[in-house]
Parts: sequence; C-alpha cells; structure tokens
Amino acid sequence: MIKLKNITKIYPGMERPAVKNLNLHIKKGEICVFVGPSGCGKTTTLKMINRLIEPTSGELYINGKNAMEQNPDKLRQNIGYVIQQVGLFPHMTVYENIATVPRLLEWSEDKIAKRVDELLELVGLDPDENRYKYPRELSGGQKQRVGVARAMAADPPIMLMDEPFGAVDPITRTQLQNEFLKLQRKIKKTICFVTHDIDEAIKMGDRIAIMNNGQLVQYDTPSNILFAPKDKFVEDFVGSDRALKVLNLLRVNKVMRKEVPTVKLEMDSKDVIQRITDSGQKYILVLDNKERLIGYVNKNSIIESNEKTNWAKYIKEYSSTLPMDATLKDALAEMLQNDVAVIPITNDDEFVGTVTLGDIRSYVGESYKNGDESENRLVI
Amino acid sequence: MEANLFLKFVKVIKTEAGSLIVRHLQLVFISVTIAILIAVPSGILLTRPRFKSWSSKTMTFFNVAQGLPSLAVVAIFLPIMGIGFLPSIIALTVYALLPILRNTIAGINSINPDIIESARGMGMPSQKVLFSIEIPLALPVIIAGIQTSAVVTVGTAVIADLIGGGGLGRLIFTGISMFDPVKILAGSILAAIIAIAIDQGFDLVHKKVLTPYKGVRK
Repeated sequence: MIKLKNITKIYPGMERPAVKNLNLHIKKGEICVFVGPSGCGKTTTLKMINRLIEPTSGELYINGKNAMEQNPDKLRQNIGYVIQQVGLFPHMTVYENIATVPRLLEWSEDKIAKRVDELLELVGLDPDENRYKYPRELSGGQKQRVGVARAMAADPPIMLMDEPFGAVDPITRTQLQNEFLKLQRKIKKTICFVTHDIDEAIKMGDRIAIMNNGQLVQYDTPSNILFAPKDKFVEDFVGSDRALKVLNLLRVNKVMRKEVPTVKLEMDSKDVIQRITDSGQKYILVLDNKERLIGYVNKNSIIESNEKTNWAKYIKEYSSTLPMDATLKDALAEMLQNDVAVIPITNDDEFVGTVTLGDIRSYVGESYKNGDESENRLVI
Repeated sequence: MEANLFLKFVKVIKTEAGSLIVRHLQLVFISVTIAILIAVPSGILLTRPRFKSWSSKTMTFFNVAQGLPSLAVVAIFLPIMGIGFLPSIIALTVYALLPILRNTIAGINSINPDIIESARGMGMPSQKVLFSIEIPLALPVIIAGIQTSAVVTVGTAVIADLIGGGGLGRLIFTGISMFDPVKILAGSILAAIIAIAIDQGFDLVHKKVLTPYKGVRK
C-alpha cells in the first residue's frame, strides 16, 4: 500500500540527514506505528508520505503509483491527516470542518450533509447536538474526534496520524485509543501513526517501526519488538519493564486453562468432596446448569458441616471475573487488588476457564526464552 | 462674556464647519481606503514564503518612516507634489500605510501553524488556504490595524491644510493666525469627535461582524 524506497531527507544547512535511507513497506489495512525519541525522524517520515515535506531523494509509492509524480494537493486529498493539536479551523463549524475535503472534491451539499452525520455518529458524537458547534465549544476529546472524522470525510484508504492522542488527558486518551481500535476493525484503513510513547505503540500497532537518528532500527510486530529487541537501543527504548508491557499485549485466552475441575449445583456433597480431593486443591468452582459461574466452596467447610445435601449455602461468591479479551495486565491487576491467585474467565457469562498467577509467570517466561536466549530476564 | 464666546462657537460651527467636516472626512476616507488597497495585499505578499525574507526590511523602513513627524511628511511632499487636495491625499496615504501593513503581517503570522498545516495536509490548494483560512483568521487583527490607521489619520489630516488640503485644519490654522481661540477649539473638538466616532464604529464592527472569529458564538 505504502512503499518507501531509500527515502532520505536532508534539511538545508543540516549536516546529519533527518531521515536516512529509509526502506519501509506498509501493508494494506495495517496500523504502522512510528516510534522513537524526539528528533529521530518519525514525524518527518510521516510528512514525507503526504509530501508536506519533500524527500531529498528516494522513491515513494502509494497504491503502486509513484507519489512523487502526482499533484501533491490531489495526493493529499486521498490521504487522511490528523495532527496532535487537531488543527480544526476555529472560524468554521464542526460541519464545515468535516466538509473540507468533500468540498474540495466538489461533492453535492446533500451528499456532504449525509456524510457529516454518518461520520459524527461513527466517532461517537451526536450529530444534532454538535453539527453547528464551533471548535472552541468542544472538549479536547471531542475536538480530537472531529479531527478524526474530518480526516475520514472522503473515505481515504490511507490515514496519517501524528500523535493524535497526545494532547488529551490519560483517561480520555485510553478511551480514544480503544474506540479508534474498534473503529479500525470496521474501516480497515492503512494507517501510519506517530507516537513517542512505546506503550501506545504496542497497543495500537500491527507493526512498529522504531527509529533512531533518522534510521529505521527495527520494523516488526509488537511481540517481536518486546521479545526479540534487535539491539541495545530497542531494548532500552522499550524499557527495563518490557516484561510488564508484554502483559498489556497478551490476552488471557492465550494463557487460560480450559480443563478446570468444577462442580455443578445439583451434585451431592460426597461427590463434591471427592472432586475437590481429586483436584488436589482446597476449593472448587461451582457452576449452574447453564455453565455460569456461581462461586466456589472450600473443602473444609463442607466436611465440617456434616450435611449430606445442602452444601450450597457454603458457596462463596467470586470477587472478580474477566472476559476472554482482557489482557494479562488486567488479570494481574485483578489478582493484586483482590489478593487472589486465580481469576475465572467468562465468555458472555459462560465459564470457560481460569488464569493463575503461575500460568502467567511461566507463559511470559517461556516467550522470553524463545525470543531472546542470551539472557533470562524475568521480572515478574 | 462667556455666553458671548459660546454663541460665537455655535456660529463658527454653523457657518464654517459643515463643508470643512465633509472635506476632512473625504481626506480620511480616501487616503485610508487607498492605504488599505496597498497595505493589505502587500502585507499578504510579505507573508508568502517567497517574500518572507523581505518582510522585516520593509517593516524597518516603515517603522522609521512612521517615526517622522507628520508635519515633516507633509513638508517633504510639498516641493515634490505641490499643493492641493491630491498631494494631501498622497501624504496621508503614506502615513496611513504602516498600521495596516504591520497588522496584516502580524495577523497572518500569528495564525497557529497547526491550522495551516492541517489545511495543507488535507490537500487544500495554497490559494484556498489563503482565502478561506488565513485571511478570515487574520481579519480581526487586520481590521484593528485599519482602525488605528483611520483614527490616526483624522489627526494627521488636520495638518493637510498646510498644503492646501482643506478640512478642519483650516479652522485651526485660521484660528492660530487670527489669535481666535474659538476657531481653534471648534476645529479641535470636531476632529476629536470624528476620531471617537470612527473608533466606536470599528468597535461595533468587531463586536457584531467578527464574533465568529473571536469568543462568543453568533
């Protein structure tokens, strides 16, 4: 979709190139995150893709066509562009802001009106409430949403985003990130995303391009970046707590134990005690006949009670469960907060398995050994 | 005695002031309009990348020129242009240029570069960026420059009478040569009123017309 070949940018009067011999291939429908310290050339690279900055040398192909031979304005009209400070036009309403590119493309006003409403809905803003507002009447998060809507107005196949969530508070940022990922699953754009935040890169990226001093250091999937950093720079940039970052990347369903001993409500206490004994644990999880988790019982409380059938009153509720697409970080946080070592996992209320502290530890440890054999850096 | 002076004041205003006010307004209106027509386009030109390097030199020149007393400017034009209405207009125009030019340049340069960048990033041709983004956003500052220029010109136009421009200056200078304080006062007060009226008029424009660019919604 986007191909950069030997792209170099040297600013006049500067000795060191801002970007040097960059080769990169961004696949259709993927989010490619450019990340690196300030001055590494990530923003310059992004702006060379829509030729806001002209490369000194090299070739740029977008959708198979040589972008250097196209009219830059025409090229940009087909590439969505979102920047950190949003850059909404303060003297225009939300409607007029979003209508910018459609108007350049001379759409009919009917079509534009429909598109504006559709986009506002898509980014989670009520069209009737917000259509005629001016940017100063919007909160930071709302502005950013309008910025994204404006970039998508003419449905460009490619979007360039320069620290789009950098200027909002952390809570709004997380919210916007999640919404954007959800949106991306629907719209499947090819996205170039610049950030200096490695956590954001790991969260948002299908692929991460780590840059330093104008050069591409590693271009890889988030898990390869974390498990197999190419050199010391990547390793340092990812941070000494990269094992913790892995937790953010992995979903509980990767680690989950599916064959977990459980008991059903209708069993009698003898069978329940037998099951617990077999499992070697002190307690067991209790499900109802629709496989929904009710809680757990301790072996001792049933034995002490001496009752044959009515063991159900000793069931204790479970303090927390997690859905299957929760991350290992979520699971670990739950464990620490509730002082438990096991978290049941559910899928639409149905119990599907458990995640234990030990499982997380060994899974992350394994991944490390496979990825990087030289050292064994287990932080957890 | 005092009532007598007042009667004389009213008489001066009734008999002499009418045509002089009209002439004074003509001087101000024509010279400021010409100044706008020259300063706004050149100000815009001086913010374009190609001419940007000239902008500081131009501003230095005009700042120095503005430092000259208005009397000197009028005097400089006297041997070149002779006397009359036209030389007065030219002298006043030159004097009115600077505030407009300065504010046009400042207004456009003060626009947040992110806004321009996002406009260009969306593929807006540079001409459209200028007319639908830069000029509208710089407009309040440009108009403030015109306001300053117009108010200053009302005062400068008084001196234009020295080179035969007419206007309220005639009342004042006649008063000076005839030791007639009533005429001096009448000319000065009328000029002040015109200046205040123009100033207030522009404030109204700022409030009513330019609100979408400023704070409150229309």
